[in-house]
Amino acid sequence: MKNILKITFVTAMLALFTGCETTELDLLDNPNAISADVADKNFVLNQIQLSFNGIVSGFRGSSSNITRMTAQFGQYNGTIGVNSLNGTWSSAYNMFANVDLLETISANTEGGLPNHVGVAQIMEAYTYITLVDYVGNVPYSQANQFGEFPTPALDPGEDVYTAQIALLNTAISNLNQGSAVVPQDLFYGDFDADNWIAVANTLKLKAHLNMGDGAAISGLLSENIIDTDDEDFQFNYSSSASPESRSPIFQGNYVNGAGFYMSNGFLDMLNAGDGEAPFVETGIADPRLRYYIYRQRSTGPSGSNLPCAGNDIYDYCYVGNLYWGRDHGDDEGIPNDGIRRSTWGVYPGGGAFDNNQFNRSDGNSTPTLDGAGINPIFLSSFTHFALAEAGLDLGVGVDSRSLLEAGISLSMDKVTNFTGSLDTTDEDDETIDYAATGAEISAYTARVLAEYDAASGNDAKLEIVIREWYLASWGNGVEPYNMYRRTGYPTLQTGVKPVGPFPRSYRYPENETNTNPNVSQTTADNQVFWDTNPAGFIN
Amino acid sequence: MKMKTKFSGILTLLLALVVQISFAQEKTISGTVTDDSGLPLPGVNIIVKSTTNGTQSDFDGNYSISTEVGQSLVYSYVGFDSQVKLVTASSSMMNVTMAEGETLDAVVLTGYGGATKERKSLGYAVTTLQADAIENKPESDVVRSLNGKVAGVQIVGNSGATGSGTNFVIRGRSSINGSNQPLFIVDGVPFDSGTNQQTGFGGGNTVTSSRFLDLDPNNVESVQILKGLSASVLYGQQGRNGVVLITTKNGSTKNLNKKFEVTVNSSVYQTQISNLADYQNEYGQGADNIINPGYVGNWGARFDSNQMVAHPYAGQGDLFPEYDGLEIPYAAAKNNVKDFFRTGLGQSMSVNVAGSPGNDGNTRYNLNFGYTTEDGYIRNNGLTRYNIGLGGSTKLSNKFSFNGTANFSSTRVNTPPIAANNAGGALSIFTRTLFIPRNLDLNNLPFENPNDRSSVYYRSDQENPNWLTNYAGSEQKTNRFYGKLGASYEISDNASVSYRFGLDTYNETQEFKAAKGNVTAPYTTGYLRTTSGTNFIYDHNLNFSFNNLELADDFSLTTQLGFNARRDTYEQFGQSSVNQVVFGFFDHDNFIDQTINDPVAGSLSFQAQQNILGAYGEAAFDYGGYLFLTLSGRNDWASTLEAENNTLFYPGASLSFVPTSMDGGSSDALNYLKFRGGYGTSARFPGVYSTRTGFNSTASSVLDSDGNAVTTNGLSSLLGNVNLKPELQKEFELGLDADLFKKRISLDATVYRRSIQDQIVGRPISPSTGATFTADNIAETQIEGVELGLNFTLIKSDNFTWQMDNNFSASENTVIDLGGVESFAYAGFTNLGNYASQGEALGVIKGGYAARYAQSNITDENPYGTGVNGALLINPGTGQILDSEGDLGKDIETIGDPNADWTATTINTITYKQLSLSAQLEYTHGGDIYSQTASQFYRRGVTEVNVDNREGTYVIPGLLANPTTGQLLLGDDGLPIQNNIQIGANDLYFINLVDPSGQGMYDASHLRLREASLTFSLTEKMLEKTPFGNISFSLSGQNLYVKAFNIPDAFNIDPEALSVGTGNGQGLEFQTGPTSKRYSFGIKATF
Repeated sequence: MKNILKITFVTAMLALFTGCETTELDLLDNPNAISADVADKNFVLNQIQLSFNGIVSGFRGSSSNITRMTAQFGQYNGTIGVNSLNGTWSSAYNMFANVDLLETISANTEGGLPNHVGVAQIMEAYTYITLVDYVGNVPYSQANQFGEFPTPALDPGEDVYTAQIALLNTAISNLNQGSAVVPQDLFYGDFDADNWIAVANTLKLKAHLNMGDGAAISGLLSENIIDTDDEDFQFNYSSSASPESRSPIFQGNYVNGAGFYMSNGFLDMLNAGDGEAPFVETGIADPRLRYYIYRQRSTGPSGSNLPCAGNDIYDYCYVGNLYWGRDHGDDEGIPNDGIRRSTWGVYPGGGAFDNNQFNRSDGNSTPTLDGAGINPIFLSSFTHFALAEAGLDLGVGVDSRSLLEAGISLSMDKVTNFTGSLDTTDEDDETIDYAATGAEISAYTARVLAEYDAASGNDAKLEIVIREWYLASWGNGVEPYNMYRRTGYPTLQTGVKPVGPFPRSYRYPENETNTNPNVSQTTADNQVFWDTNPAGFIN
Repeated sequence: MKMKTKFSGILTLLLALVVQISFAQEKTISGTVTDDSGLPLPGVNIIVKSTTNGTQSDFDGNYSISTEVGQSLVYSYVGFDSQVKLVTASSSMMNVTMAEGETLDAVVLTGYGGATKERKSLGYAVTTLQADAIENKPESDVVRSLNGKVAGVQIVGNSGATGSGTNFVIRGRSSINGSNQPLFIVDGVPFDSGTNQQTGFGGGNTVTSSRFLDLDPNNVESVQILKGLSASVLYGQQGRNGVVLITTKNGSTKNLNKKFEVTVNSSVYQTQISNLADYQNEYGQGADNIINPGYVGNWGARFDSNQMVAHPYAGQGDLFPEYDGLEIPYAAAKNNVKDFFRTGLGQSMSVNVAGSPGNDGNTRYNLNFGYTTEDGYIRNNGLTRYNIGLGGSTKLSNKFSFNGTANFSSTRVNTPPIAANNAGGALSIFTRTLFIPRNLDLNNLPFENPNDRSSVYYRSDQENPNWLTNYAGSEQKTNRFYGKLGASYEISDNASVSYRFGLDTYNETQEFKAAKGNVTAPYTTGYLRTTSGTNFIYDHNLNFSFNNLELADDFSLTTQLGFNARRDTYEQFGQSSVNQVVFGFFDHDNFIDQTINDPVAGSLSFQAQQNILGAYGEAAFDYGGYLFLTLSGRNDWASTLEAENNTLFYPGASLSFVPTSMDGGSSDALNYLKFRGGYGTSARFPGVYSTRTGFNSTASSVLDSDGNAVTTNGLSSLLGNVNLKPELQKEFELGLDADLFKKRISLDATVYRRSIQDQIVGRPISPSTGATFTADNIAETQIEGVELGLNFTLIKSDNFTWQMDNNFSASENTVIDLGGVESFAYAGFTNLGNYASQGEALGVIKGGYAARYAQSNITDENPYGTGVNGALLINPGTGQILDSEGDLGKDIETIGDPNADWTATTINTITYKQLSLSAQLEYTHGGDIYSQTASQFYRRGVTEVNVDNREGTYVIPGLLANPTTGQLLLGDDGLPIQNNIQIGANDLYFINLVDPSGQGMYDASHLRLREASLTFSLTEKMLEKTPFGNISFSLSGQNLYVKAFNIPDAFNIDPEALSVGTGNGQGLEFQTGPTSKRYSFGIKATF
């Protein structure tokens, strides 16, 4: 009997010891996540700001290829497929959900959070506008309401545009409230509502330009827009590798060598080459060239590193002057030239300045800004070019010539001031400075203006304005894609091999078409609502 | 011991139930029962025929029973043929020798809660394997030794690297996102068999060990595999994919032959890479028949062209002045791949001590010690494991019994980095190693920079594999305790109550490291990631059983009723560092930057806990010993669902009819026949935290341009689903067991169908809703299959036997419905992965393909008739094939089905006197794999496959088509134009032919010699003067031969290596470690 007691006691103790914990069934809250009610307004807006920057970068890569700012490999179908926008699209709608959440937090906060909400609304508007620019009709009125609309229907692109212009107006009135509660501003540093009001107005300008609404643009001339360099709408990266905070351009080209090829057509437009035919214009290098493009090698490509050599289908194959790029559509095998081919320079990714040192772009071989570059989302130079275009194309009462001149000047200043602490002189002979001089910039501007003056008719002048905007928009993929479809300019290299029809819009992301019967896939010849140009208008 | 006494106890109780008064002349008979080797047999049931009077032999085999003259005594013992002896007037001492019989119909199985069942009463399929199938094999992973031995069981190692994870699937895969791995029960309590992969397959998860690696194969006494749901209902929702019941020697309840026995197993073995390709030695690096010492491809000039070529490091004269500008003869380095690998040595040693103190045999103990060390075929890949355990049981005179086990294991596995990759982009020693240039003398080249010790190689985009073996890799250290305490009390003669507590806990430390000086982001500046995870399973079980309740004549009932509470917790802490300071020193202190938000693995610290409560009952009816009906059911409550949905009841029923157990039912021709049918259900509850939407918080997402941390809060892209319900799985099975011709032939056949409705999947939702996934009950899948075991004793004589055991299994799974979602990927890449796709087999591989034309492909949406099948479309400008994605911009399509059609195994064992030779041959029919290795072999031209006609030209047979739309070009005659454009070998293989994923798909039908062994046992006569009871020697080899019929022979690819880690992915091979081939020599001795 004594044993029985002992045994019962031990068993009971054991059962009790772990029993209660074991039978608990309310273990539903994730201990690894915070709950929505403790989410912080600033941190939610930070999430929105980082997502937004990621979304803009996501639009950049492939559209830089097809607009020949970087090399296009093979056919357009290979570059823009049904998976191209998967990540960008998902992260855009996830950002809209966070904007909704921030609006809820604001509604529950005494006095509201007009600054936070205003900034978030601007990002939402830019993103929706760009989604329309890229794919046409997008879910809007039914988006982000899973309970009611698990498969949101498409709204016509034009309606979405209209709604976003209204949203920008709401954002402006929020920002005009002058609340003392200010967010952490990852774009301008210290928060100033005026900067954001300028962004909102400029985005309206951008939308109206696409839609060809000259009257609306005229109405914006007196508003606060991005017209000075301190209003440049850009995201600022830092040099921190952990957590990874460096420009994606730097990450892709300066950690293990260059990841992309430069486009021979773009190099030619910068007059980088050796002045030989076919497309050479002046033969005098663009003052921004050494900031835009970095050369890793002091010898030109040849033999196995130049698979196109001797093949007469190529326009350039090699442009000369040690600029290793590729022609449009070239799909030859890729040599082991990640540490040889020319790559992005110091602007805008925070890479190296080309001071004729010809170092490898793999880690520590060459001094760089360590990725502390920018994402140029909408710069003051763009605003000037946009207004110059509106003057020529939409009859807006502005002086396009002086806007062109100001645009070039702002771009030159922006780029040539970007070297930070980097040495621009020759390492061996420090008297040789490769930084652009004022004289070079003036000469450049004078040449363009002379060309502008000589051009007969608005269309010829427009071509020059767009070309200069295109050159100034290095590192921005959205504006070149839009301007090319809107105006047909600049004139770009045609494919040296079959590249297929130019994508007038992107394909819907496959993760949406697979799950949403309201979204049917389109083809590359689908034109967005504001693209009224004829089929086959550009290639 | 416990099992036996219980069994006999039940019979005794049965006898005691009915009191019979005897009037005849009483007589007491006593004697000893021994086996045919003279050892006493305890626990033999001795019953006076046609009465309920009976007894049992004691520990020394002695018995005594009251009977009367003219009656017969029946001696029965599990595993032995029964004997009947007549009591005569002169009888008083009756010694009986029992002969070991055919065990098939009498095998006792472990039921839930430790109850025992007779095999004939089961209405479902069960397979039992004994220790000899597992011990002394050249394999440290107990599960891999089971490979091919059981119909319907599929075991695939993730790679041949020692310690890598293993996929274990019973009856095919039917769950899309849920686990398809079975429940492991070791000595009656749950045992975690998880694989704690820290990263996806690009980060090297295949080398993460599966936690059944902690078991010592030499400590396993038997393995029983319950395949279907009707067998596993009582085990609860974790048992839905089958149950693997492992009885260790410490948890053994087997009767001991001796009071004290020591068994020693010892083996040494070697491990080699199984199948290297047949490399060509005629052409070297380059393209278009021109040498290029920078290229990966081998399309350069012939070696016999007597040329000179730049030394691979000729351009790195600053580091290696001796090679500066050096020209060396252009020649093949014939063994450059082979010499990279080694022959690894392994050894295992296990000592087992079993004993039973006292004379009553009611108490036993077992002690076990095991040590295994194994080196893989890759340098710096190895395993070391210690196992210590003890177990015991005792039955007290006061109707209490106790049993318990306590096991400790310590396992350490280290491996150089191995990751799935496509020849670039991941840190892996297999990145390009299997197809390095034929003239690259890899093993005689320096691999590190003499200044900073960074990697040096002939190309700058990849690490030297020798550098990686030395300065990068992973290590896992696991310390584990598992065991149980059990107590039971006999309430009355036929009722008992028992309680059992099981505990399984381990701490697993994983480390992944790479020294600075590699070229793969994010590891370049040096990298160290350590995680420490602690897993607990607490399992409580309270069980009431009522045995042999006689309901009527020949009709009895055995029931059990119980409650089970299981708690699982996992908690992990981790840290990751970059920017190494002192080269090659791996301590977080030696790194500049630390985070817990790892760039590869994500957040390294997290916790999860879940509780599942169950109540179960079973009623087993026995009519006349030939008809058995078992009804069972269990209700679970789970902590992973909202209160209104957190419970599910699932019943099961099985029927077994054994006509041969009826009077006159058996004959010499038909010894045993059983028809069985079962219906079973089970539940699946979702994983933790899927009902409520999480909110992510990251303390430092990035640093802003002023260096300040930017904290973010944001909605998860995973939407919570408060309405989520448990899923119900249903299975129906029918079977037949038969023994024919004195058991020279035995047959075991099963057909089954399992369906899962309302299956919980990670449902992809429209991203425009703001989230991308939610857990939802939308899918319906079904799997149907056949399992067949057919064993022959072909020859049986005194000195010579030939036993042939065969098994066959086939299954087919289908995704019937996906709730409106057409298809989604659940393993691999989204553009080359395993898909759940409505109306197709589960796991079909979708990807891009070489565009083809067929009239039958033409539809309204596809007017040009392009598709996966038909004649190849050829680009009229280049003479090359068109890629569905890159050229035509088409969606991906189904390009293969990785599910095998059927598999068959034959195991032949020939025994001649003391010598036994056994071989296991397997064939798998069908099942497609995507082989990146095969594609790369084609592309790089390193094998004998594409060594011919390098100087000539090729014309790809096909039809010319528009290279952007795929529309056929028509000739003047209006007919399609056959391609006649000649291209070189380099353009054919390197640039073009293997680019689309579909071109890398192969039918993986293959034949394999899984195992061969030769065992020699010493005779008793030889051992007479020694202290030994048994000594045997064995030679054994594993994975000795593989032939895949539809993959070019020279590639020698073993389709069994899997690249996507442990989980539901299959048929995807992205250059992970090839399988291994093993040989061993072992000794087993008992004394």
